[in-house]
Amino acid sequence: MTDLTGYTEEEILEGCMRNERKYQEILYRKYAPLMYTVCLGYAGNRSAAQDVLQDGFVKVFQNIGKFNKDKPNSTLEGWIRRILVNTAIDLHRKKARLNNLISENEPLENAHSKDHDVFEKLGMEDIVKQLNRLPDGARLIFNMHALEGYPHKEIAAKLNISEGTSKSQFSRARELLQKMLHDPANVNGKDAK
Amino acid sequence: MVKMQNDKFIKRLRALFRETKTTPPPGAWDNISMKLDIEESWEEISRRLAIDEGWENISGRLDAMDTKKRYLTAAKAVLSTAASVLLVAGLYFFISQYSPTSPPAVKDPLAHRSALQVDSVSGRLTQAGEPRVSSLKIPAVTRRARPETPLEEVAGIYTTGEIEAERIADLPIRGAPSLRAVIDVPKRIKPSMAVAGQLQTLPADTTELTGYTAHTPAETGELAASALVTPGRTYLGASTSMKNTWLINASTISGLSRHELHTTLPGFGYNLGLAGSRRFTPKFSLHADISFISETGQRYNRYLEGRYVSENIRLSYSTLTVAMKYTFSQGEIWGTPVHTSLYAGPYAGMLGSAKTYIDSEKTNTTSRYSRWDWGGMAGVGHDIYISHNLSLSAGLFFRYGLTNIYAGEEEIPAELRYTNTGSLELFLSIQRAIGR
Repeated sequence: MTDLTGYTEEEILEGCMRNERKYQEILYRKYAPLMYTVCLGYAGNRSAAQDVLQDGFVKVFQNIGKFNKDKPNSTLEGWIRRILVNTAIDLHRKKARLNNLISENEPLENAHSKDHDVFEKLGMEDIVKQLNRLPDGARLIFNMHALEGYPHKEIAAKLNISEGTSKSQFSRARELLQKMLHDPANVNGKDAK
Repeated sequence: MVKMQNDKFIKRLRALFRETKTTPPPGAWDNISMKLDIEESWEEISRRLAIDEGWENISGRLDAMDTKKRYLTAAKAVLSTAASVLLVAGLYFFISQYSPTSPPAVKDPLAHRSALQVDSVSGRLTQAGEPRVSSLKIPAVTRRARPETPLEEVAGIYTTGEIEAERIADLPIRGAPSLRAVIDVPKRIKPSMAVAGQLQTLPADTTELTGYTAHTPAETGELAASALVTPGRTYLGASTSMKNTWLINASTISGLSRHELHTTLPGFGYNLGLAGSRRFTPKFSLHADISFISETGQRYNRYLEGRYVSENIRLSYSTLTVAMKYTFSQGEIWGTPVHTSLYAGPYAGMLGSAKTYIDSEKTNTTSRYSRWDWGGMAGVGHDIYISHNLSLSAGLFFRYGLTNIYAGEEEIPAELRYTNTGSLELFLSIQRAIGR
């Protein structure tokens, strides 16, 4: 394990730009745990999450020269996150057409009245597990809007769907997730379309 | 209220995902590192393939190399020709000087003329002593000088041109029987003046005729010419060839294209053996030669396992050639009989060994080639009769093998590389007449 304490982010960035493997590993060790959580949220399973993580970091190192640290509100973490999310979207596009959505006719019980307990009762692993039970397309839309803050217009453009579909799928995915988090045993997420 | 609760849920979820760190799988970094290595390798390969150089630059370099190659080939051809000419000239000089059948070098070109005398009684030209004069060549200058010069009046010879031996005695001699006429006329002096000048110094008691070119039988080509084409006349001697060789197959032909990764280069070899001929008619002879060593082969520059290597295939045969020889010209160069002939006939070769050199590494590849090769040859050649019994032959022969000499190997079956031999040879031979 590389000792991170002796290097500033500036030094790490410059080392990565010189394509020095040592600095690349330091950068990876620093940001991979955070990014792996993101990948788990998008990928659907650990194996796919690992693929996204690996492909994403390769892109990071290949394009690190394009990162502009002087840009306002620009952080290296945010830049890496965006690359990984885009990698996850690309992977999703390659894997399947975006047809795995939640059925509009699915009756959903409103569970938000109990949600204050949910995050205290469940660990991250359980939440990811439930998130991954969402249909792939719905999960992607939910993650893009809820976790990354993409507006529905941008999601619609990226995924080649209508803005209305993005909004309704997000809403239904949120409700389904809430329901699954409160009562995991009685909700069949993958069959929800 | 519901919206607020929903927003709160999303915010908490977002915060959870932003803050939670999950340990990545242990092999992830190794995989990333390996992918980066692969990417870097490809980038390095791209750089080494000189992508930064424009195609025009590469093409220009290739053209320059081609030009250099052409100059080199031309220089080799000129040097080979010069070496051949020197070799032939050297042999000719050596044999003409030291052959026992050659006439002795005559320091005084007029020495034989003592045999020609004017008979003091009959007043006619006679021969006395040895060697006997076979013919007289009376220079044309004499004829042109005749009206002005009293020389011929003195010498009494009115005939010009060539006079055969049997007519020598009939030459009409007029005037004083005892004369000495020296008429070696320098070319740049008017004959009449020269002759007149000589006449002034002509001693009255001269009995010897000089000034005429006389030949003895041993040194004359004209007399020997008839003997040279006598049926049954047989020659035998040593022969050698320097040759440009080709293995004619798909690889050789494709390698001549600039667009192939490999390049075909000409092969060179030599023959060493015996040659002979026997004349059947004045025009037709049988020519035969046996080469104990007859090398053939081909050279390539090949792209092998990521680098260019030099490949040299060398096949060593023993060959027997039998050809019909048609003599279509019997001339003379500088007084030496020269016959020019066409050759055509079959040949057969027996493979001794085959070796393939990749750079300096030698591999025995005899098993890849057939034991026998046979085909046809044709060519043109000169026989230079440097003496009555000795001839020097030089010719240009083309040979083409009619059999597939490639027997195949583990990787390439024979039917995929049909191979014929071909060569262009500079043939040299020195032969001596045997028997009568």
